[in-house]
Order: sequence, then C-alpha cells, then structure tokens
Amino acid sequence: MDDKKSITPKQVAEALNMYFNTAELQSLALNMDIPYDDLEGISRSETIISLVKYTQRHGVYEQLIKAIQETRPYINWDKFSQQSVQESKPAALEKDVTNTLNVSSSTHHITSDEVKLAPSSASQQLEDFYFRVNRLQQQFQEIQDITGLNDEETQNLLNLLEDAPHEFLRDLLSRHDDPTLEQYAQNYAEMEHELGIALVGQGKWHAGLRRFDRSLTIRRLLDNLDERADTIYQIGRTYQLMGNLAEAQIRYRDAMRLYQHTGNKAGIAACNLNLGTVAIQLGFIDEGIAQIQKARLAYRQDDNDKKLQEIDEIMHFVHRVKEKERV
Amino acid sequence: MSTPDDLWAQAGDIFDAWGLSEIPFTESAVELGQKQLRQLFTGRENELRQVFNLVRGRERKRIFVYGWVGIGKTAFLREIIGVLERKAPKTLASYISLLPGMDLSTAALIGLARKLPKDDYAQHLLTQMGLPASQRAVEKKTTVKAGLSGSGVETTEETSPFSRPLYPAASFEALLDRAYQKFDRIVIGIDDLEKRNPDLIRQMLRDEQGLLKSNAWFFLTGHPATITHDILARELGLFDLALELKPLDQTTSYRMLVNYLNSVRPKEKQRDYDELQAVWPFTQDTARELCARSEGIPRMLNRLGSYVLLKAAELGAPMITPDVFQAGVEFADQQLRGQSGLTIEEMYILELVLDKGVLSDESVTLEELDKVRTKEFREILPILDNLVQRDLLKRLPSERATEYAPSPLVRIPKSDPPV
Repeated sequence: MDDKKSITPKQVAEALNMYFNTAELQSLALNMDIPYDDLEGISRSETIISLVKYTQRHGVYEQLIKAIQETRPYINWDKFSQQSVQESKPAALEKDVTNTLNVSSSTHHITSDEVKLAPSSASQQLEDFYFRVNRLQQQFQEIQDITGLNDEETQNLLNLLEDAPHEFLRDLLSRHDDPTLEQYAQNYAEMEHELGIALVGQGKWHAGLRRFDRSLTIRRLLDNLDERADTIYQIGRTYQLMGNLAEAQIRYRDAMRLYQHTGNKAGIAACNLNLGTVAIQLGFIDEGIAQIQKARLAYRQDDNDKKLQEIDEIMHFVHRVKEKERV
Repeated sequence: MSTPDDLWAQAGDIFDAWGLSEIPFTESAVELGQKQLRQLFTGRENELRQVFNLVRGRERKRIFVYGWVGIGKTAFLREIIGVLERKAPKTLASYISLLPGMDLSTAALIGLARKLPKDDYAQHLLTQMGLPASQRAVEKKTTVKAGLSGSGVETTEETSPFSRPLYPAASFEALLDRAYQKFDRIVIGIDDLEKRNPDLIRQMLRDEQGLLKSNAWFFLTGHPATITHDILARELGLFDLALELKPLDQTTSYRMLVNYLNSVRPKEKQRDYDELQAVWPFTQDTARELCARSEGIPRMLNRLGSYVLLKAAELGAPMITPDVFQAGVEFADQQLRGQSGLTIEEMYILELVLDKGVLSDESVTLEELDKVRTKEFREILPILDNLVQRDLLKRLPSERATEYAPSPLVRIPKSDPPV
C-alpha cells in the first residue's frame, strides 16, 4: 500500500501507537513544528489521536505519513491494518518480553553461514524487533501511567528499551550486507542528525548530543565519510556552544581529516572557521586569525557571500579586542 | 643454597648499607599520613602564599587547583587542609576524594559529617549512607502498654537502614548551619575531579552552583582540560581563584628526594639538603639524573626512584652508581611495557607515540588511525588515557592540541634523541 492517500487517519494513529515510543513521537512532532506538549489527551492513545487531527487541521497530514514512512520504511500497511491486539495486557506483555528476548539472543548465535542471508532477512528481523520493542515500551508506559512508578530503576529500564532498537540496528548492520537495511540505516542516521541540529538550535545541547551520537554510531558502519564528518562537525559545534573547547577542537579536527580525505572543500572551510574561533576563545588570537583566513580564502573562491560576511564580523570583533589589548 | 631466612637477612643487609629502613617512595599522596606528608612536602611556596592570603579574608572563596596527572594536586590540597587544622583556630577543614558515582553535594556532606564526630545528625547521616560513624544511629520507639501503671512504658531501639540522603545539598546546608555554631570557618576540599568524565563534571558544576556558592569554602582539584578556559565556569563565576600547579624545578625535586630518604632514616642519620650524603645511596650525579628524568613531576620521581632502588637491591648494589641507575631505568621500562593486559590496540598506539615522539589530534593521520580500525582521534582517546594511567605515556600541558608523549619512565627507541 504505497499510495499515501489510501492510508486512513485510523491506520496512521495505530501505526504511531505501535511503532513509535513517546520520545520518538516527541521527536517526530518537534521535526514538524508541532507543539507536542500542548496536544490534548491524558493517555498516550488520546495524544496520538490529537496529533493526527492536528496534522489534518494544519494541512500537514501528508507530511506526517511521509515522515512515518521515512522513519519506518518497513511498515507493511496492509499487514499492519489487519493486526489486532485482542490478548489481555499481562499475557501480551509476557509474550512480548519472551519474543523480544528470543529475537535479540538469537542474533548473538548467528553462524557465519547465516550471515549470508537473503537480502530481506535482516530488514525483516529489524521490523519484527522494532515492532516488539515498541509494543513493549507502550505497554510498559501504560502500566507506569496506572501504577505511577517513576523510580530510577523504572527510568533505566525505559531508557534501555528506548535504546534497544538502535543497538539492534547497529548489531544487524555490522553482521549483514543488506541494501534495504543500509538504506533504512542511512535514513535513520539522517533523521537523528537532523533532530540533533533542531534540538541544539533550541538550546537542548545534551539531548542534541545524544541524537548526534546515535547518528554517528550508525554512520561509522556506513561508507559515506562526508556524512560521518558532518555529524562529527555538528558534535564539535555543540561542544563549542557548551563551552567545552578542548572537546570541540578534537571533533573539528576529526571532521577536517575526513573532509580532506574526500576533498570536501565546504567541510574543510567550515572546520577551519570554527577551529579559528575556538583558538581565539582559548586566547591564541594570531593562530585563530590565520585559521579563519584559510576559511575566508575557500569561501571567496566559492563566492559564498553569507559566510564571508560572517567572517568579516568575526574579524572586526577580533581586531577590536586586539586594539583594546594594545591600549 | 640460601634459605628464605637468609634471603630476608641479605635484603636487610642492603637496606642497612643504604641506611634506609624501607623503600620510601609512594605512588600517591593519598597513601601518606598527615605527619608523613608534612615531612615530605616541599616547594609550592608561591601557590601556598596565594591560598593562605585568601583564606585569611572574611569572605568565603572557591578555589580550583589544577594540573596534570601526578603533579601533586592531592599532596597540595592535603597540605593546605593540614595547615588549617594545625594553625587556624576555630576552622573546620575536611578532605575527601570524589569517588565514582558520587556527586559534589554528597562528597561535601560526607566530608563535613566525618569532621563532626559528636554531632548526632552528622553521625546519623553517615550511618544512613552505610559509612562508619563514631556513634551508632538508632531510632527510638516508645510504646505504652495499657493497663499497667509505672512499668507500662517500653522503649525499643532500631538501627536505621542504609539509604542515600534524598536531597544531599539540603542536608549539607543543614549540617553546615550546625557546624557554624562551633566553628568560624568551614573548608571543604574535594579532590580528584579529573578522574570523572569531564562532561559529567561540567553538568555537576552547573547543577550544583548552589552548593559551591553556599556558606562554606571550597577547594576543588582537577585536570586543566576539565574546567580551565571553560566558558561555563567563567560565566557562572564559579571560582575566585584557579591555581595551576606546574612541574617542580630541579632544586625542589632534589629537596623532595632528600625528604623522602630522610623519612626512612633513623633520626640521628637524617641529613640537611646541602650535605653531600643527603641523597645516599644515590650519588650526587644519579640523584640529579633521577630528578631530571622525572621532569618535575612528583609521581614520576616516586615511581622511577622506587624501580631504581628495587633493581639496586636485586643487584646487591651498595650505592646507586650511574650503571646501577641505568639498570633501574631499563627495569622500569621492562616492567611498565611488560604490564599484562595491554591490548593489541594499546600496544600499537604506544609504539606509535614512541615513534612519533608526540601524538596529537592535530598531527595524527587517517592512515595511522586506520591501523586501529577507526577514523577518529576521539575514538583512541580512551586508549591514550589508559596508557597515561599506566605511566607509559604522559599528556602534555598544551591547550592548542590534545597531545601525548612517552612517559619519562619509558625509554625512547635508540634512534631518537632522548627527551
């Protein structure tokens, strides 16, 4: 069922309920500029219905379906719409825990022959695993809502559940050569990268770093060095914003090495510019200026007026500081 | 054939010839008692003067002491605390190391509570956390039996179960108020911030500004990369003084060596710094060589000194001549490089640093990183830091780059000039 128009709001709501945990729902909403915290509804299901209605009212329903399909490309909508949850909660929960653990433990016993699986096997495993973990998270959260449990152990368990699909994807990627899986991993890493940028833009540095780290762990397993460098660069930028200049410097230099290897001039210029500003912040003004000049040269060759203007503003500020020091 | 008793006696003969009761060197100042520390501590006059001038003011201050691994931060902090305890009347001074899993408030709370052995609340808090207390914390329960007059009141005691204080910062404030009823100044020294993840420390400093700005004096020690040049720390105005401990000069290193040797000599055989025999069983030449090789880092002086004496004892050498000293240096190199548990990656990185002289995030190449199956310097940082902890490498005090060089205890390959 690839035609987006044939997907009903009920199916969308059910898909969100089944395949997305609360943190991912929040990320999805954040990415679409939807104020998740303001949505009506006390329970998770009610909030999801409000979310779908919101997208219909604001004309972004198609965008929501697209986002779901990009994030979870493996969802079989036909199969999915026939699924029902008839079992009682404790029984379903017990079964899910068993099944999830079975899937995850079986992956640790894959033989070398099994590694050469048919292309769809790994993505199929991922689909199954995602489905089970999300259902588990959902049921766990519902139980948590009823019991009001919110101690450290409960939170740790929820965090583990939230990280489980990511870890499983990493594990699958390192074992399988599956184009569908790689495509999914690329989309996933891109989504995490973009979410990281959005969160850092809102000043949520730690949350942003967590997204970048997820993106980077996946990108380390893929072949695209430019994309990997992009995420490392963003991590450096976040550390610079946080004032952790030593860490920022390391990350920019790591990104720079990769950009130099691929010949990515824009990436090299961006790293030079930010390494220059870090040097100035550390008090090495002349070295910083020299590094920024390298970036200026590259931007001039590219006629990048916006960046050149940014550099002019930085240099103006630096020269004023130097003047004051001289006085 | 020698019996174990003979061997023990032979070992004793060597130490008798040296005039020492044991090998005096220690890896960390934590192992030293306050009395021993007082005997060994030397130098840092300017830094101490700065601190004591501040402490004499009425306004409470927050001081950050920083420097590289083994530079003597712990000894410096413990010496300050010791001086305050001995010399400053009505001052409560406490030292605590920040252990894994501990936040600053809990560390401060434990440090303060330990210094209040007669305070019920302090001792109750320690017992609650499962720490030794000078008084047993008990809860008294009183029950009245109906129908019986006079003897109807029954009191039972129950020991409190272990638990972490729910709000350690609030408990600290409450305990501080109680402490100020008896003391005029409360000083808390929290050591070893560098042993924790820098991000975690930054988060702690952000979250615990209230604690640091409370009515106590704080001394914190850590790594330069953790907090110095940190915009966060500057913006929050967390520290009134950031004090860097630099490597000791050669004269101070020499004096420290004499202090160490004196600490295990009989009182009548202790020597002054200017006596030629002050460094015996080292000669003047080998003592100066030891100081030079240690590069002013007390930890290195201790470790190398210890290896040299161990080797000399094994050789039965009555004096540390240049040849014996060289054998000791080689012994240190063998022992450190032969440490069990080094992974292939660690061995490769160690050889790489030995070959290059200095490895940094700026100079490393993608080809070099590829050999340890990575493409990022950030990913080899834990390996480099592990090699520093094992005294195989040292981190250079540079802020321009993250740089590592071979430790003075490891010999550079012969083709390269010695550092």
